Amino acid sequence: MRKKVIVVLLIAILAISSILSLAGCTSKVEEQAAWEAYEKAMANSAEHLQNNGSYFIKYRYNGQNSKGEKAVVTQKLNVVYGNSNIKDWNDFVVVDKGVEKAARYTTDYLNTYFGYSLKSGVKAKNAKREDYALGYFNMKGEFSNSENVEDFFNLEAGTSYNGNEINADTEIKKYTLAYALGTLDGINRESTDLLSAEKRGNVLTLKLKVKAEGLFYSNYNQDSNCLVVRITLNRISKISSADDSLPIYFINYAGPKLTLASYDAKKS
Amino acid sequence: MGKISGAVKSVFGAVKGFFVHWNRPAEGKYVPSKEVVAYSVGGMGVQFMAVICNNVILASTCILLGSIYNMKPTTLAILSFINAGVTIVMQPLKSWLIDNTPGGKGKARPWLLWLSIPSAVLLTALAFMDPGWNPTTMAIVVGILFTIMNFVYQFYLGQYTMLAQLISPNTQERANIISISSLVYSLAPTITGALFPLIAELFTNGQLDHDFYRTIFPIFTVLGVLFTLIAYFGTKERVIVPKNYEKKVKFWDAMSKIVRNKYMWILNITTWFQFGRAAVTGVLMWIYIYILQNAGAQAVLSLVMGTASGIGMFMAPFMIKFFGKRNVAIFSNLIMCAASIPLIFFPSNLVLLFVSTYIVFWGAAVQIISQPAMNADALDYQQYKTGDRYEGMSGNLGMIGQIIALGTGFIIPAIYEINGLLDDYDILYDPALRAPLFRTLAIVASIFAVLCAAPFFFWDLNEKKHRKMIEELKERAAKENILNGYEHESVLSSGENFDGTDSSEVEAKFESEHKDSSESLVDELTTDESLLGKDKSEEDEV
Repeated sequence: MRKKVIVVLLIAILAISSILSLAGCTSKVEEQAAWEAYEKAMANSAEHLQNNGSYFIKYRYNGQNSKGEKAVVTQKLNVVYGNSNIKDWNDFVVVDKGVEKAARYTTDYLNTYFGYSLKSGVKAKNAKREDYALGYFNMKGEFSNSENVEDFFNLEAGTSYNGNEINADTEIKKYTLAYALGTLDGINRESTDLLSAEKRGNVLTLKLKVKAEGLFYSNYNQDSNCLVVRITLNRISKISSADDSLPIYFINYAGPKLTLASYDAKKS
Repeated sequence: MGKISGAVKSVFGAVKGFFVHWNRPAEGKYVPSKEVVAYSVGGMGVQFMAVICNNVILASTCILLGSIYNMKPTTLAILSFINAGVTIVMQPLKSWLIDNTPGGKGKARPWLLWLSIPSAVLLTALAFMDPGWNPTTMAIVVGILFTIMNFVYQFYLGQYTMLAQLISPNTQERANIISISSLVYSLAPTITGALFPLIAELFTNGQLDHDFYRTIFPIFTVLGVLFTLIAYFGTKERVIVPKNYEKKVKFWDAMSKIVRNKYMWILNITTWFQFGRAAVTGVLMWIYIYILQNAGAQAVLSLVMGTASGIGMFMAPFMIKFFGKRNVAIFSNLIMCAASIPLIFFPSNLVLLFVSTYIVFWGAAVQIISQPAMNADALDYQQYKTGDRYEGMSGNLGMIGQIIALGTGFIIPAIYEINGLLDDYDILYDPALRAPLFRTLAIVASIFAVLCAAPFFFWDLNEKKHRKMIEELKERAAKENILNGYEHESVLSSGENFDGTDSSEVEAKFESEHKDSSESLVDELTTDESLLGKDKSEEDEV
């Protein structure tokens, strides 16, 4: 009986210790290792961008809702690249641009869908390139043709496009992965002081004081007002300030599945 | 062929017997079928509430609190810690209230009536928070409201479970009733599992839409209250006590006796590890929303997943009958371990995720039957050893588990956070980030399932011993009734005789038939010498 109890207790202690170690503690990272991790993360993220990887970004800032009240506004951009049904068509793209949590008491969810829309009556697995039309659906679900993908990402606020207005209170390009990563241009060990680097499991958090001027984040030049960069599994995943008072980028390298409605579907 | 036809006949026999014993229980049983139905259908009400409560748990997997209200995992863990602390502090009060329930209508049923409406109101209120609040305000309001709701709701939920332990002194009958009721009431989560994704389609953001929760919460909590009332009005509590049993429970006296009940300890120790064994099943909603992303498929899979619990609960009493509760408890935990191990190697395999989750649900469902049945046996053992019924006070032993849970409650959230799940749950769309998270959870689930099984190796209160205990308790209660002049009274707290008739009605009938006679029941019983002056040493045989 006593042996049974001892064996069970030993197993329990061993198991619980293993679990606690899995739960992880926060550890400080040496400066050299931290910069190397940052450079590697930037390279990985840039490679993902160059390879037309899909992404899902949220850009959160203090603004106004549709009623003109102060509100935390979250602009989201979900971009899906690629079409497995058509060979070598890597620039195929479907985009969901929206605003969420912009209102105080209701959720205003404004969506604009842009990309290649399939003709009605044609199944995706049997579709050819010419069955697709490039354009966008506005909030009313109306489809307008577009010239190319970059036209959409370079749209300015309140742009009128073939008479159908896209509702965006700021440039769409600010929510793209290219722009988000571009804000970190110039952030390196020469231009920036590393205040701290902490690692917890797969998450590395860097606090940076930007010394150089003329950079996007040059304002973050104090210990109390520093730039915070989160790296998750060797990719940049969040860019913010220490007190989250300035716009925050939440960067994901995959997002919800997207399929556009048929551009010639009849409305009931 | 003979075995198949025999099995079919026994099934038909059981169905026929169910209707034959609609108003009166079968020989050797205590509960008529209509009462089993009332308890079971009433359980659907409890489960509708439970489904709603599962949508507002203090965990990162909660869509409402995590994805919609944007509460961080550590915030939720801190609130959970506080809530656990309050629960511990309030536990003695709850235990005392249970064992001293006013009104004399039992220890479980009255609380179903008194607590169902407050539970519904408090649960619904949690769906009407403002997502625009700053994190501190959100944490305070949700924390206070949740703590009050949790105390009331858990009290209410516990009493429904306790009713199954008090509805009959027959351990196999208890297991059967728990099984039948579980099959019936599990229709509630099956219905909601299929309905919710479809209702969510009506809202712009689907299950990530605040209005979805503000719609389902009031509807299904009201349904919960209405169904619960069926259980209240349609059931009775039956414990074996002498007619004049009116034990006032004193806290320290009760605790000093309960701590010597090893079976209570075994049941409590296993609960210390239960938080971890279902680590993988906790992410099922994430699988639906972030991986599957198909409401129709989710509705179908929810129905399929619901069958796991149904099958487990159906099989449980048969497994208990053939293998005993102890072996069933060990086996069901070990199979949960075995189901989680493959996910360590293939954490991204969607089919494997569902299969593993299905098996874990099955194992947990078996224990939904076995554990309360074992708890009831442990309570009977307490009465056998010390003459006390401690349905409420025995819950105080669970305080130790709750204190332990204050620490272990941080483990799963910590695992989420070290894998990148912090203030943005959309990382769950990314398979590269999901795989390490699911792998770690699978490791946790495997280890803790083994730890849950371990205490049951010390359980030696088998069904044969339990039967002997109950017979002994009946004899003691009958003896005490004779000594106190209640010789013709039932030893069941419900006032029924063992054939289901009411003892007061029998008494009235006897008196009317023998009003001119010198006969009495007293003479017949007191000639039975074996009931008087029983040798105390025989009590140690069990």
